[in-house]
Amino acid sequence: MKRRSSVLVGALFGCLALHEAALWALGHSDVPSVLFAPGSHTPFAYLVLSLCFVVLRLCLYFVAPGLVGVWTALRIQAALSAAADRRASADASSTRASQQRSFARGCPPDPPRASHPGSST
Amino acid sequence: MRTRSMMLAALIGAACSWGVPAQVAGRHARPYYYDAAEPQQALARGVSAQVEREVAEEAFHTGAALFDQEWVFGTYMMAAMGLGQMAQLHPESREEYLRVMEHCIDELLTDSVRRFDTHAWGTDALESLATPQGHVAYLGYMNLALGLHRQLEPESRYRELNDAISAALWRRYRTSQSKMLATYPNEHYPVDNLAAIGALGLHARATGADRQAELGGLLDTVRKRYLDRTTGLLIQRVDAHGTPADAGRGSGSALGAYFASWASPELAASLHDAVKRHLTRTPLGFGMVREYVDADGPGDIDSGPLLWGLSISATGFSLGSARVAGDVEHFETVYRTAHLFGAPTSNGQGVRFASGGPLGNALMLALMTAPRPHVDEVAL
Repeated sequence: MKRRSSVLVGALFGCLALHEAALWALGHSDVPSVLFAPGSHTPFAYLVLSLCFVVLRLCLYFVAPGLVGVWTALRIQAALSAAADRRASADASSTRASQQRSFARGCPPDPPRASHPGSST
Repeated sequence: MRTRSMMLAALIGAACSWGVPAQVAGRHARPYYYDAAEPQQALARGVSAQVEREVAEEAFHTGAALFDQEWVFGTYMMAAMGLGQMAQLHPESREEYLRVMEHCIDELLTDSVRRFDTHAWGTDALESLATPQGHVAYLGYMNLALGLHRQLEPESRYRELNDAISAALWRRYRTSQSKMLATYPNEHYPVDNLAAIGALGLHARATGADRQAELGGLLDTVRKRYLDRTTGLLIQRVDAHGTPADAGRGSGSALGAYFASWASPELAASLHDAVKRHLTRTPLGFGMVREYVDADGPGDIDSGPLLWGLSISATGFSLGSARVAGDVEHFETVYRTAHLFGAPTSNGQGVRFASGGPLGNALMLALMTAPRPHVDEVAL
């Protein structure tokens, strides 16, 4: 999970850096009106470069927010689940300790905490 | 449990892909629409820098020398319009905009920029004002820039030329049965005539001449004969008798709305309404305009390349039609698309749309600063 996260973050920042570099280069060069001119007369290199740039831009605008959304949602769920696990194990150990104390004194054990997620009480 | 959480994550991811791009791409739309000084001036600086260097035919690759030359003319003409509009919108920088606007008009008057029209007709537009030749490709557009300059500077140094061209256009319209002057020999385009009619409206306004009846007659003819009866879109091309030779199309209608606004804001609004009603699509909040209503015809020099029937030119032109019709929602959705594919970037001299080239940037300035019907002050 951690390795995948680093790959994703690296890929997104890589795309962003490439996009910004391409945008800077386009802004400082005199590229002809590729989008307005009918494609058949556009120099092939310009056409390819423009199409690559548009695809990169579409990825950044549409794919990247989706991936970031999925990644964030999974991270939040993992964090919540880890927190729930920690609380469950804390409850379990406190219940065990209470049972041991009750057994030693001959009293009934403490009831489980009502706020425990997934608890039937 | 794991499947459920994956589905939830996928749902959130899809929501992000659905909602975030439109928000990011459209963040400058309303400032542009409501004439915020900073973005509009940055765009104007970018265009000024471009036209103050030479605009060369080599910057275009249309595949035809005529169109390459026409686009050089179009770049200077639309830059002049955009800068003139900027002088009206931002009086604090008026002198600077007027200076560059005059540079553009001076370029428009050079033989090399007039060459596209001279080659097509075999005669020079300005030297044949007394003839019945149309020359509306040059005269209609040129006169619009001259009229705007005159509106800004009543003592404009171009006023005699503006009067002479306007007189020639009026004379030609009076003798024309179809009320459609030729762009090139045997080629008649209503959108070019709307530029000429807009220029005549602007000339009348600038000089205070009473041309209402004559102008009304011309506009009535356009409404009755050159709008598609079903859709209200502007017919793209007609023959010498005014019979439609093409369908009502997006590029002509949206650009025509901008030109018509100088003579008739009502006609401009009706053209924009037709574009919005019949041709506009807004997938994921990105506004795009089709070239044809119910056919995927081929792209041409007017429409640019078509993707699934969507026209790059019609989409861009509709920024202007939205402004002249006061349609902020359309402007905003289409601006998102212009931002996404045009890729505006700052290069130290100002902002330019990276994939627009010289003509695309001059058009964007003119269309994104087109006069709105009324100034409704809304918080940005």
